[in-house]
Amino acid sequence: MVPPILETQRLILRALARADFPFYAAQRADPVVMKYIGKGDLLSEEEAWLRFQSMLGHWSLMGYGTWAVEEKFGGKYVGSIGFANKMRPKEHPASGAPEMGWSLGASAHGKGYATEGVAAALAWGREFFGAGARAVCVISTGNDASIRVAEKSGFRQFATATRYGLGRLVFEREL
Amino acid sequence: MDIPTIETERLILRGHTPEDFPAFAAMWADPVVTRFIGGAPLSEEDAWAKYLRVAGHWALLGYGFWSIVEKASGQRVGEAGILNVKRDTNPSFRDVPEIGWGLLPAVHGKGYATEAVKAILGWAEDHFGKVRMVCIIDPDNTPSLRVAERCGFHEYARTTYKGEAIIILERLPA
Repeated sequence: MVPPILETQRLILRALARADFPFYAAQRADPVVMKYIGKGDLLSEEEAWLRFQSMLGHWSLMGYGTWAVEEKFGGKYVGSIGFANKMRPKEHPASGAPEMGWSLGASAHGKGYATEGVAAALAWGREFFGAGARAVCVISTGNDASIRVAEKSGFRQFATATRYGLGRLVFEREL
Repeated sequence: MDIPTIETERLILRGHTPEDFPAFAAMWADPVVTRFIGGAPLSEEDAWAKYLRVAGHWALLGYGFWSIVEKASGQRVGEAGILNVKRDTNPSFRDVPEIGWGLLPAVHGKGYATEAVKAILGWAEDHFGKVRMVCIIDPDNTPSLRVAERCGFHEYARTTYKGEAIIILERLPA
């Protein structure tokens, strides 16, 4: 399955390509980007490469996944947005529904890009998963910028979770 | 990307399918399998990320891992293939295709790994041409060291990877 191309006012969401990897790896090694992802640890190039492959493989196996986000003006790779099945354990409140995630490089923060890209992905998801299907997202406690993106995108917090001993907020919405 | 199918006397090597995931996850949750590969059994969640990576590796690079199916039983009995995973080792072999294999304990000792690896080496020569290839093996994994030797690999370095001792073996083009 080749990811569809989605266009917004300022962004293009398209398939991840091999040429994106150095930019992706640089973001995964940036403490500003990683502060609220996983344990907050920076990823080595090797670890980033494994994640990058998983994102691509998700499209082939599941027919949906994560897009590369490119700035329309200049064509720069600025991050990734999409849906994933993370195969979370059944007892996790986010289990069983497509999970949205987004991550942008530090230079692309504060511009409303995440909200803009998430809106395009949600519109696609409504077609793919069906109107009324449930989507979730999981955000680290304290990640106020992402919490605002979730709220602006129609997600409501309904549960909490813990990972690596750190607090997570779990959000849901109907597509 | 269409993953090629390779047939040997007793085995079929084919791409992973979504239906393989339960067998894949069960294999990687088996401590006998992970004793010499990775060191610890994988949770279903971690197995899923690994499984997704295999598909992504093929899509990105045009080569990767196959599922090994035993012709006689039709069962998936393991996996083998060629990797580029940018391993952080010293000496580094980042630009050299790496071959790897893993089989269920129930089929160990039948020569399946050797049969699969030889077939993959043939495919690799068609795909890459005559190139140097490497593999890494735990020094205590005597059966896999024998598979490597039978397939023309020779030790060229001993080092550690993620805190575990490994032997790096190479196979030079004929």
